[in-house]
Amino acid sequence: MSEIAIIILLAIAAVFSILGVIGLFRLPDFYTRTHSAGLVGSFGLLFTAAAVIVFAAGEVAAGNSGYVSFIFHAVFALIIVLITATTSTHIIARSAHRSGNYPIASVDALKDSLNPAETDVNQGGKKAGKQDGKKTVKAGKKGGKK
Amino acid sequence: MIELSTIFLIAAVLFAVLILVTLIRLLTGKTTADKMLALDVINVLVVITMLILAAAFMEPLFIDIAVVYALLSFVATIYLGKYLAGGFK
Repeated sequence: MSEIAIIILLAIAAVFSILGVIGLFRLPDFYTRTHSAGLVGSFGLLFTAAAVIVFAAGEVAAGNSGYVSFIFHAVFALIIVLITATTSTHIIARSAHRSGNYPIASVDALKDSLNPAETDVNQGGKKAGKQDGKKTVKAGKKGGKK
Repeated sequence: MIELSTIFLIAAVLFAVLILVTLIRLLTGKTTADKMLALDVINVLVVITMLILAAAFMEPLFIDIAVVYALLSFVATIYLGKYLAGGFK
């Protein structure tokens, strides 16, 4: 009985991971590719951990009480990776935007927050930068650090 | 009915193939950010494969190793992000 549930959960995880990896190749823009990378990190891992937990719960129900620690370890790994995978995707997107990799296929909502006038206020009277994109990014980074 | 460990082994092989496909993306990515993203996906896929192998070989210790791998790869991603955003100031 639990075999069918495990097969279904693993199939869902495999489908989401395959779609995420295909999207890593096929999507037009770096920021849309981060979306498909998050697909692997969230749904692929979530359904795999669910399959492992169902497997261990089936073994516990069959009488092997040594598999209780299996469940706790799987839940712990799930929590850790759900925190770190989402955070590292955010770090990659943020550092890519600061290094001058701007969106092509999606809306750049950060463009207004990086204009020279605002960062001028943050830096305390330093000379305002030009309209150049690289200059804007550098000024924004320094303003964020202060 | 098929053995459960066989099911888990088939899934592990599938995810290993996905790791290899993502490695192609890591080697042929156009920008540095693309390569970092492929590396991040590989890290998550390795953790998924370790979870499946733990169930296939019935070893809870593999999951602990997966947790340590996830934390270390997170630190590596933080440092790579600092490098890409322009170094340490």
